[in-house]
Amino acid sequence: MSVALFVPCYIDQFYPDVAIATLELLERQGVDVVYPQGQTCCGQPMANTGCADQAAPVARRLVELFADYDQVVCPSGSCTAMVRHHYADFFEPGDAKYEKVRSSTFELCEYLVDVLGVGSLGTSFPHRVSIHQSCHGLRELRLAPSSETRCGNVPDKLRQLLQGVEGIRWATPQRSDECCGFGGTFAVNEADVSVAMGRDRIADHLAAGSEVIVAGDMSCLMHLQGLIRRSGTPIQVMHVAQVLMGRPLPQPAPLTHS
Amino acid sequence: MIAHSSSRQRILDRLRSIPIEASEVEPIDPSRLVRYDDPVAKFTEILTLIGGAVHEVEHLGQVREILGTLPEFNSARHIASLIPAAVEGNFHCSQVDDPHALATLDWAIVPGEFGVAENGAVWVHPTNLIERTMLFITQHLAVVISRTAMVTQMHDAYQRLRAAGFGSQSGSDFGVFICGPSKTADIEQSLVIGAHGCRTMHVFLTP
Amino acid sequence: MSAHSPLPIVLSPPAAEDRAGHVNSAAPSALGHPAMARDFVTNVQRSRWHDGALWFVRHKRDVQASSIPEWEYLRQMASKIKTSAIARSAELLEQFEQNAQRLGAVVHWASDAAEHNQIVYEILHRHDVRRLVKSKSMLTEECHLNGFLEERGIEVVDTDLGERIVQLRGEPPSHIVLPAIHIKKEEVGETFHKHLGTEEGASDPQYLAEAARQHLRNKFLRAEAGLTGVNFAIAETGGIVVCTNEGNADLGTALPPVHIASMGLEKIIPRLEDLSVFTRLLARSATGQPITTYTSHFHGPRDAASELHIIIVDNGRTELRQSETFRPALGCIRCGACMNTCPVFRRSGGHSYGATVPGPIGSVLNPSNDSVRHKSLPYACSLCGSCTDVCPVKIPLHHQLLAWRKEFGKRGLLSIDKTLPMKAASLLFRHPRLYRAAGRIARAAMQTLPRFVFVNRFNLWSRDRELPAPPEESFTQWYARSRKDSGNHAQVNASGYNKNHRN
Repeated sequence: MSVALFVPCYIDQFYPDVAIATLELLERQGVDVVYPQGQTCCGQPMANTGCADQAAPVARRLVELFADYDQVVCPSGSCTAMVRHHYADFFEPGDAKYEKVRSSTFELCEYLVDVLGVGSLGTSFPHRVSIHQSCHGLRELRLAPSSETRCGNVPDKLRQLLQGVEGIRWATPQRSDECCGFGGTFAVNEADVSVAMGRDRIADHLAAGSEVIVAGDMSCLMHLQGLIRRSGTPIQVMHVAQVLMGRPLPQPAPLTHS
Repeated sequence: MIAHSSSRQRILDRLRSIPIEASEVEPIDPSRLVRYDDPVAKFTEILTLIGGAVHEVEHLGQVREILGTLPEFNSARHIASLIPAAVEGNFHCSQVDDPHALATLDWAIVPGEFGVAENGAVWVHPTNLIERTMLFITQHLAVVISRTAMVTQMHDAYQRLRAAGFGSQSGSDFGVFICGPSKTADIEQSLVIGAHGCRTMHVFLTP
Repeated sequence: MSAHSPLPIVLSPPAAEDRAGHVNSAAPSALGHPAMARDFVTNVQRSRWHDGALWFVRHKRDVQASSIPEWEYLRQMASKIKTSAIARSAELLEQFEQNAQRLGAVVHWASDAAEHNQIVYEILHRHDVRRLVKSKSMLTEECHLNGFLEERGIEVVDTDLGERIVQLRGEPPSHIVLPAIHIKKEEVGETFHKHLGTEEGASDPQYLAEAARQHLRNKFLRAEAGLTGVNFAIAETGGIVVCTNEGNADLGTALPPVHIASMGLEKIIPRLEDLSVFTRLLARSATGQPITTYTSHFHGPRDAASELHIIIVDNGRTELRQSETFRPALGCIRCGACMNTCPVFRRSGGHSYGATVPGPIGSVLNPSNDSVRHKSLPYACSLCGSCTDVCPVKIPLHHQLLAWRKEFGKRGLLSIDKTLPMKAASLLFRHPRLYRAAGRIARAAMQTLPRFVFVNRFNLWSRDRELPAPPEESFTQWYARSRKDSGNHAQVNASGYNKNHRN
């Protein structure tokens, strides 16, 4: 079983530790993970803007790169959803490589829970944690039950994994799965609304007594972190992979060369 | 006159211009529908929550007794009752042919056909324009149904309507599900009971 | 009925906006959603108030959804019934027309808004109607009917309380179910003081609603015709169903002898029983009630001396139906649940969409009528998908918004500030060496260049947010450095971890 790591572009460039933690997590489970060289992006920014022509070659590149692996794991719900749900337009129907990659790409939490059947990881993280349910992971990949639907017995994979971490205490925001307002280029195109949404999320988590907001998508956290650091709000963000690997709570980083 | 019969043809032609496959829609599976152990209790619970009042009575005379405890009934000037055994009205609808004449109606006591447990609604099927208008123009409404005439949810309700021939008559017809007093929350989401229709609504459940 | 001379055929296009106020017909194609939303969303107090009000409605909807174990089954059935009805539209509409006529209704067909308005006017003119009462009909809003009739000397009174409030204020409604949700009670008080003579400064909702009740009762009693929308039209019976909480549709049609019912052609459903699914979903989704106070079933005119006119309207619906992608949007039952749940709508308000139907469903429907004017709408969305999850008929709204973006791309409607960065990004992503080099340069720049280069009011990210702290190396660099040729992959590389772990 060959397992490849697909690292989203913004994690590669700005949050490498999330990918390192992901790698370590998988390896700790005995998975021999390969990191295929030359990977860049899933094409989502272009596709979401409406530039299908720009997204297509990027998507095809990704499929080409990952087609030889039995399983592909990605620490991002939104990139995984892109590959699984939004790639069809870029390929001929019945394209074997596309079908293969589409059916074998997993978001990290679902891989750990559904494929590896991970229980307790033996890590400790003695902090008050609140979960931000990233929208694509939630409503596209159904990694947890959405507050809108009544499908019954949909497990919350993030929570399940975090429950296996010693010392975690829970903080519960009022709105369990409202969008953080990142939305890719939305964050810039609709900056006013994006910022208002993000600030409201942060206030909700803070009011719940959380020390750290944990999510499966670093893109959401990048947006929230940007707001948090600008305002000096006493709350942190961490990717679920980092918590599962027992990383220490980050110290507030200094503002960009201020 | 505009020849909009050509619009008719244009619209229908456009609708037929592309073949869209229509798949058969299977009937509702009754085993998937909610059931209540005590539909009357559920009906009462929901309607009361919504702002209606539910009274179980042993005989129609009790309707008058209960209404007689309400100041808004005792001070009422015009009462139209389609159920004389329940309440003797003083406003005789058979003598009225203009619905505007109902403008001063304070109370309407009318028969309903059945209730719906899941939402506290009652199906009322007025037989003419005056009976229809009074449902909405009256300040206060009382509907009398038998407690055995209770269906669980809207699927059963519409099946009952189908069986009663509603919608398949040759002449015009009107029926309405009424659930509680009229209301609005249009002013800063504050619930106000008594929008345009009745201000209070009572359901009497007879044996 | 008296004879009339033939009416001049005046098919003036509908006024861009017949009510003065927030939506200005002169500017909308230049202003997109972000500009139209700015004042509302940056007024933090107002925006949070509006957001809270709508979130509460969403919450009430959630409570109702929980009370029905078969909730998701109902949504599935509703979706199936609508999909089938949309496919069979021609057959069903003909069946409906036949049955409605059999019951004594007159059925009209209108290709567009102008034709609809003209038909309404003709009916009213023929009956010498000077006073019309209306219950809520988003279709008539879409057609800008009120202004059209008012220009021709007919008094049009919107009788839904929320609609009456915005009518008196000269504004369009901001929500399809809760038209005045953006207005505070003090503002209603001011409006009623000015128009209805209520006490100055009075803002108690009970007091104000009572004043409206008396005022509108008067209007109902003096009305010469009543116009309603149609929530559902039943093909097999020829009947129409109108759902209200206030009873205004019923008073407006019981009292005057002429009832005009305007329906979008997508309101057609096959059978009486199909109503069971929709009446269980509509009010629960819209306002969090088990059912509306009144669910009125009109089969034919109220009596032999009265008239019922049903106007079946296209106005772009057949166009939308042509598209396989967007066709499901025709299943919309106008519940507004998507608006209540949309984090963007809640914070930016309905007027920021510049269209009769705002919110997620509006952003799907409006570009079909005018892609240029409404091209910002599919982008007024973070693609969170909450709308799709609440839609009672399971319209994949957020996927349709994404599909519009792609459609704009195909039609060449995307502005250069969207396309150029994407061309650049695509280039980088196709050339890994370029991409890695760009990354190295960016990280170095962020570490060395002065702050103002990145953090300034032109940079819409960093206007309010910090950029991520640039790490020393990318994951790819770390991997190449610490894993290349290192035999034991299972070991954690401690030095690599410390250096890179800075969130």
